[in-house]
Amino acid sequence: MIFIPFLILAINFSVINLFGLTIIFILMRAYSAYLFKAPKNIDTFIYIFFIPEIITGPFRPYTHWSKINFNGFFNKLNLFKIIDHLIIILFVGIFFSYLYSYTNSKIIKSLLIYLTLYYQFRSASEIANCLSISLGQSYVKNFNSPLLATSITDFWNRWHISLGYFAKTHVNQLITIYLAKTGINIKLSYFISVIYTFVFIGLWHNISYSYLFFGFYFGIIIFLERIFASTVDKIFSNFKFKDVIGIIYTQTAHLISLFIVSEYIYKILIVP
Amino acid sequence: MLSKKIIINELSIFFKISSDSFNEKTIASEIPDWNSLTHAELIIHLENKFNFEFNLDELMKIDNVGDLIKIIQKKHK
Repeated sequence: MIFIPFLILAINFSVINLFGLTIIFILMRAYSAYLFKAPKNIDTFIYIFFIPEIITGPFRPYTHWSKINFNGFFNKLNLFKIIDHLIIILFVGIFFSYLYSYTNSKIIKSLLIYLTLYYQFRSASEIANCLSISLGQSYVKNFNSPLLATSITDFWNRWHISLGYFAKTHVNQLITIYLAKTGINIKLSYFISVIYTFVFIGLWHNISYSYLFFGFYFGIIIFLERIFASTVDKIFSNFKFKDVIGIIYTQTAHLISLFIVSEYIYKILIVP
Repeated sequence: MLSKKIIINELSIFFKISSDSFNEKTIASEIPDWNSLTHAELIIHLENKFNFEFNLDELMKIDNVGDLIKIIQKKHK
């Protein structure tokens, strides 16, 4: 299992990156179906290639998949919500391109890219959820106010939650356990695995030095946060504005990462 | 077979919190100190304590305390 990221990266190398993301989602779903011994029938095939979710996410493990049910499709289809999110995607795109053309500051441009990515990605996930629900699936929460995260660790538990959970349980924890069992110190095992996981997530988006740096950057921050979490908590325990400082720190750290990879993200935004 | 109570008691000792905090539906994010690092430590601790080894598939199937209990009990049949 821990070699799967290499396979994924090989695919990413060989095809256009945008398709790479989709192929990786298909592979993840196929693996989940295999892991939970899904029957070899048409329903499992639909699960693996379920178009609304393999394009934008959320990632739905096989255990959260129910047999496709067309009964009451139109009653369950929340058209108002879908239109609402389509308007958000278009409006944010128009607003973004308007502001983007009026600034030369790279920081402001990165901020605009960050906010546009967030609102468009969240809405795309919600539309995929609406379509899934109308076909008898349950709701999979993919975003939980990431702009209010008080640490980078907290941020990745709130942004693309379903993918983060997969990376944590299927890559990060397994490598930590595997390395620790070979006799490597547990904290060093965790450090190696967290770097590996974030480099994998970074290079999945795009094979480039920017995303390689992105992986190391978040891997190191998360490792440091994990190691010093209790010390920081003790220092700020009585501080009134602890959460505010946490939010500023998190968003600044995230903005720095977007400063590095903004060129790629700009290409995937929906901009008129 | 190991009882549910013994396993929950072990979790309570490991995380240094009351066993009332755990039930079969408890997930890691509901326990303050249960993160990726302590999860790895917990798995190794349970393997040593109950003298068995989780395989990869089993590790990936742990979504909540109930899953953990089921796997440990299956290993101790």
